[in-house]
Amino acid sequence: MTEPTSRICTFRVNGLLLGLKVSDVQEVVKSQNITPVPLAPPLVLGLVNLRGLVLPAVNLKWRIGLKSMEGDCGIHVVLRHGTELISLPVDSIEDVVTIDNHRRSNPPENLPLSLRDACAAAWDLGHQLLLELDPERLIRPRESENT
Amino acid sequence: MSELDETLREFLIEGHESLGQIEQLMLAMENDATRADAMSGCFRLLHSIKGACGFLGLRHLEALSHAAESLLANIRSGEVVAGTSHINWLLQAVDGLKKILAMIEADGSDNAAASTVAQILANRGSISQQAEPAKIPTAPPVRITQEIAQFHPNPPSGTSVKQDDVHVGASMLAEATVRIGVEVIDRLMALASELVLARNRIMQASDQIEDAGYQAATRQLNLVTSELQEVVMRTRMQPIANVWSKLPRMVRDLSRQIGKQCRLDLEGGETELDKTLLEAIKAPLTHLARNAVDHGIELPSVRMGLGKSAEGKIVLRASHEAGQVTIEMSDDGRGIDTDRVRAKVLSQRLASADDLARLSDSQIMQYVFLPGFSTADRVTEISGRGVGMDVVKNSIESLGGSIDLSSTFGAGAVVRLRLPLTLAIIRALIVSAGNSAVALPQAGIVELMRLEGERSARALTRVGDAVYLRFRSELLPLIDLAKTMNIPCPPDMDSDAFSVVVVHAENRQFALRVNKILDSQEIVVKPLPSLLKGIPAYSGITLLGDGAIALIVDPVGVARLAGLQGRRNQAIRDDSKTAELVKTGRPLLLVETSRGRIQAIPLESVDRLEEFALTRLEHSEETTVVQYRGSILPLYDTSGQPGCPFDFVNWTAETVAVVVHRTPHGLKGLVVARIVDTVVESVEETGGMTIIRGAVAQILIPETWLAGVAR
Repeated sequence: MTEPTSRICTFRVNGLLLGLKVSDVQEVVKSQNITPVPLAPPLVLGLVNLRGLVLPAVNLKWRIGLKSMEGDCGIHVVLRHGTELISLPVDSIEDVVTIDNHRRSNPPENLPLSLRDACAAAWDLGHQLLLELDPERLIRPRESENT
Repeated sequence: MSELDETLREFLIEGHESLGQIEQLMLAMENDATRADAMSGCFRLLHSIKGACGFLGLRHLEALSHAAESLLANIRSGEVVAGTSHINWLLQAVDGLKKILAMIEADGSDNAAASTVAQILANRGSISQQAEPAKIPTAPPVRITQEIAQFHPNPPSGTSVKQDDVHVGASMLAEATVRIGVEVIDRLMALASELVLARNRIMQASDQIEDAGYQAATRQLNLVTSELQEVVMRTRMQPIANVWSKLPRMVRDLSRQIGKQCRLDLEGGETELDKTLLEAIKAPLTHLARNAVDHGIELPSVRMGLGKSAEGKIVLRASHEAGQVTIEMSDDGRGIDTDRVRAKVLSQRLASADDLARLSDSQIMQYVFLPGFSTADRVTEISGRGVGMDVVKNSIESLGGSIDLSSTFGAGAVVRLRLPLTLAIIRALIVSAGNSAVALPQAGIVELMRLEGERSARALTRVGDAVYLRFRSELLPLIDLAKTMNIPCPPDMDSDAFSVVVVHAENRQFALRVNKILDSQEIVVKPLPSLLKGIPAYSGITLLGDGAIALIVDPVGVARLAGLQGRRNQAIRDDSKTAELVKTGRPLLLVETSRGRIQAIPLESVDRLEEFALTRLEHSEETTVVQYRGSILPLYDTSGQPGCPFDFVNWTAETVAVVVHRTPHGLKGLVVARIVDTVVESVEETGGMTIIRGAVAQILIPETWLAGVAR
C-alpha cells in the first residue's frame, strides 16, 4: 500500500460496523424492491432493478453467519465486481472514513469463521473496530460449506 | 458511391483507418527513429494495403504503397538511417495514398492517380540517402500537406472531391462508419429498454394530467422512444454474409478432397440478423453445407451420366419474410431416397411397414431428423455418423426457429430454416406461478388451456405424485411449475382453477401447470448475473412494463428438475404432424406388473389412473374390490392369467396403482406395480408382443383380457 491512508465506506448490519473500500463501491441507493429468485443459492437474496440494470442482491447477514435476520435492510450498497454490479442490502449507512494505514490489522482470530472468512482486514477506529469486507470472498460460498 | 462494390467499400474504410494509424506511428518514429514497434506497425499496415490493392486491381495505389514499404524495409534493415527527410517523404506518401483512396471512393478506380503517384515517386529520388541525425525538430505536418498541394495545383479531372477534403484525409465513407465495441451496443440496448419502461410509466401517469402542452410532450416522448429502440435494435443487426462468407471456400476444398466438383452460390447476403443469432447459426449452416457436398452432390462421372453438369451447384439463399428470416440451402444432387429412409426406419424398428405405407414422403423426411439416423452407407471423415441433422434441428429450435426438409429424388434437396430476427427481444408469455410472475418463451408453446372444477378432474389423471394431462388422446406429464421451482404459494390460492401450458421441446411434449396466464408480450432478454448461472430452470431475466423483474423460465430445464427424461429415441412429434402420426401410431400406456414384466395397454382403453392405499381394499367373495366414486371397483391382477382377480395377500407395497377401464358393465381396475410412461409407438405385433424402446412388451387389451382371452 503506497498511500498512507485508506478511504472506507462504512455501514451497519445488526449493529456490526462493516466497511468496503470506497473504490469497490459504486453507489448507495435507498430501499430497493427485492424480487426473490426460487432455486437460488442461499447467498442470493434476490434481484433488484437499478435503473434498468438487474443486479443480484447478496444476503450479507446469511453470508457472515448472523443468526438474526432482523433489521429492514432498507439501504443497498452497490458494489463493483469485475464488470458486474452486486447489491448488498445493509441496515444503515455510516460515514466514509479516512484512516491511517498503520491502523490496519488482520481480522481478529476469535471472529466466527463465516465472518472472518468474508473480511479483508480490521481497522482500529479508536473507539470501535471496523471490519473491512473482501468483495471477492463475499460472493463465494461460505468457507464452512466449502470444506 | 452507392454502386461501390462491397469489398471495395470495406477496403476503403479499413484503408482510411490504417493510414490514420500509419501517420501516428510515423510521427512516433520521427521523434525516436529507433522505435522498432512503430516501424514494424507501419510496415505491416502498408503491406496489407498493398496486398489488398493487388487483389482489387488498384495499380497506382499498389505502386505507391510498395514504394513506401520498400523505404521502410530499407530503414528497418539498417541500409538507410531514417531522417526527417525520409519521414517527410513517407508522410507525403501517406497523404498521397489518402488522396488516391478519396479518388477511388469518388469514381471506383485509381486510374486518375497516375500523376499523383509519379510526382511522389519522383520526389523520392531527391531524398538524400545519407544518414541524418535522428533528432531534428519535427516538421509540422501542415507544411507537408502544403508541399503536396504544390505538386498538384489542379486535382485530376473527373474527381469531385475537393482538395481540402483530400488533405485532411476525411473520407466520407470513413466518417459514415464507426467501429463500436459490442458492450457499448449492449449497454445502449439496455438503456433504450430502460427508457421504454420509463416512457410506459409516464404514459400511464399522463392520463391524470390535463395539460395540452404536457400531453403533446408525452406523445413526442412516446414516438421518439419507440424510434430510438428500433434504431438501437438495428445496431445489433449484421448482414448474414458475415457468417457465410467462409462457406464457398470450405465447399470448394471439401469437394476437391473427395473428388467432387461443387460450387456454392450465395444469394441475399445483405439480409440482416441479430449478432447473437448469426453466431449461433454458423455451425448448423456449416454442417448443412458439408452434408450437401458429401451426401447430396454426386461424383462428376455420375452426374455426367445423368445428364447433369459435372459441377454440382449448391445455393444458399437468405431473405426476410413476415418478420422472420428464411435461409434456404438447395442442391442439385441426388436428393434423398425416401425408399431408403423407409427401409432404414423399418430396420431400426421406428415404425411398422403398414404405418410407413400410410406416411407421405414429406412425413417420411421427418425421420432424417431423428438422432442416430443416417442413410449414408459408409461413415466418412466428413459426415455420415448419424449425428447431425438432429443436432442441427435442436440448435435451430433452441433459437426459436424451425427446420424443414424437402427433396425430389434424383434432382436435389432443399433445407429451409426459419429464424426470428433477434434473440434480444422475444415473444413470451407472462404467467403467474405461486406468488411470482415468470416469463415463458413463446417458441415451443403448443397450446394453452384453462382448467376449472369438473373439467380439470376429467383432464387430469393421477398416479401417486405424478399427474398426467389428457391431451389429444395422449397422456402428457403435468409439471407443477410452482412446486417444481419451490415458489411459495399464497395460502388463499384457488387450487381448483388453473392454466396449463403445453410445451413441445426436445422431441417431446409435456404440460406445465401455472396459476394464470397474465399476458403475452415482447420482452427484452437480459443475461443472468453470474451468481445465478448454473440454475437450469432459467434462461435469462427481463423487466416487465411496470419495472418489475421477471425470470425467464426454460421449460426444458424445468422438465429436468421435475425428473423428466428426454425421450429422444421416440417416434417423431413434429408440431404440424403430431395429429396425423398419433392416428397411425397407437398411443400406449406402459406399465410394469408385480412380476416385473412390461405391458402395454392401448390408451383408448384407459379411463383413469388411480392409486389406493392397501387398507382401503376389501374382499368380496373371490375378488378384491375398492369403493370408488360411489360404486364398487373390482380389481384384477395383470401379472396373472387373463381375467385373474387381484389378491393382495402377497402384496408388499402400501399402495396399489390401478388402471381404471370402463366397460359396458361398469368400471374395472387393473392392478399394476407401477405406471412407466406413455408412448406413441407404431406397433408391430407378433403373438401379442411388441417391441418398445428395444424391450419386449406384452400387449394387454383390457376388453379381451378381462373376458379371459390372452389376446
